[in-house]
Amino acid sequence: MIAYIEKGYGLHEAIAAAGLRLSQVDGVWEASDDKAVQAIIDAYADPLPDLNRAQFAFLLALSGFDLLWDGLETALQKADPLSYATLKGLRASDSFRFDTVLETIEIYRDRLPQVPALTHDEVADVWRYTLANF
Amino acid sequence: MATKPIFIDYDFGSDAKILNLPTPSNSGDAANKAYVDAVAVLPSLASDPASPTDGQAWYNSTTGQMRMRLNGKTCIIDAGQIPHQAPGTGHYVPMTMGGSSGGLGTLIGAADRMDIYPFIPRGDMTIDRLSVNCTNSNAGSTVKIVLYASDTNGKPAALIVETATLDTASTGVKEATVSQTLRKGVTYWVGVRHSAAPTLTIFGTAATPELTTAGITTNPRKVLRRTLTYATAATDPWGYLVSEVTSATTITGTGIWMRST
Repeated sequence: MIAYIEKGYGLHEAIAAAGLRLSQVDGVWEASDDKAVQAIIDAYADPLPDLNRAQFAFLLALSGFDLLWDGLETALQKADPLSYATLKGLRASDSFRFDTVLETIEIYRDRLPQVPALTHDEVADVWRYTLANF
Repeated sequence: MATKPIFIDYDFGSDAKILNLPTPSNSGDAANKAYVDAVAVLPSLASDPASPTDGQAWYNSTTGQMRMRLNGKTCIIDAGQIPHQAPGTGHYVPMTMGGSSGGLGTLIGAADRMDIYPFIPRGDMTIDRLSVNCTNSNAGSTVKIVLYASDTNGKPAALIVETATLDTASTGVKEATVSQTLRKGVTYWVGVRHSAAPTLTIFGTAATPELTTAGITTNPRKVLRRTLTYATAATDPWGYLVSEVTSATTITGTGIWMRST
């Protein structure tokens, strides 16, 4: 018996990627291996959807990161042209992945001591707010 | 062409309805052929002969197919030339023409929408499930799968199956149990009915046949779309309307898979 928890289609992709099957037959969830599939369902964390460019600009402004990002770019322009170019290009992307943005924050955190030590959950909260409101 | 004598032998044994046209003995005809200068009428049998032998041909009036025994195998004689991999028990067969290219897409449903498209099995198949894939759920929504027979013009006709509701308030593969035999070379129409707006997987543009239209179009037409109150039973018979051929290029057949027994 599967205790299904809706976590988005990514959950089903994760189950398939593990070589397992899960389907709802006449309203009842059936799995190729109940124990293994249930373990994936329970452990799966739904990744946050990507933000588009406008949403990302909203998130940066809302969190105050827009000014910090500007300051970081200015600081890097001469000191580290490659990182400067990378940040410029990243900010011009059409879409933004949550995990990529977190990695970027981590990479440049030591360059800007004034950047607050935001946790994963704090960034996620702003991300969700942006998705829901913009 | 000169008239040739032929020898006709009725076999009243175990296969009493089979007419044998034996290869003529060497009677001076260099090609050693038998000619029938008229319409050849094959036997019409309700079921295949119990033990057919190579070279026998007959019309199966139950399946509506012409069949012939070739090299120890009963074959269906038709124009189908697409290679066919007979599915194993429990295997899923996409209801496509079998020559798709590119990845599958998605399409958001709409309340009371009913989309159907033609499908021709590439082999006789008994199925026990019909399935769709929900990639984005919609609270409280359900879908139903419908399967129609076709008329002599290949247009959708009598309703064969309308499944029970499938829950699309959650994502994933949604299946309905059915018990149905589908015949190679026969045109069926298959599709879904929506109560609301879940997102389902759709087949690519090349996966399903072109539909005829009232005028020349520069984009492929793939689906007949009808609006029908979801709680109402599916229309039976369908009642073809050329005006129901969809015009948008992004509308392709909903991804429906059948499970082979």
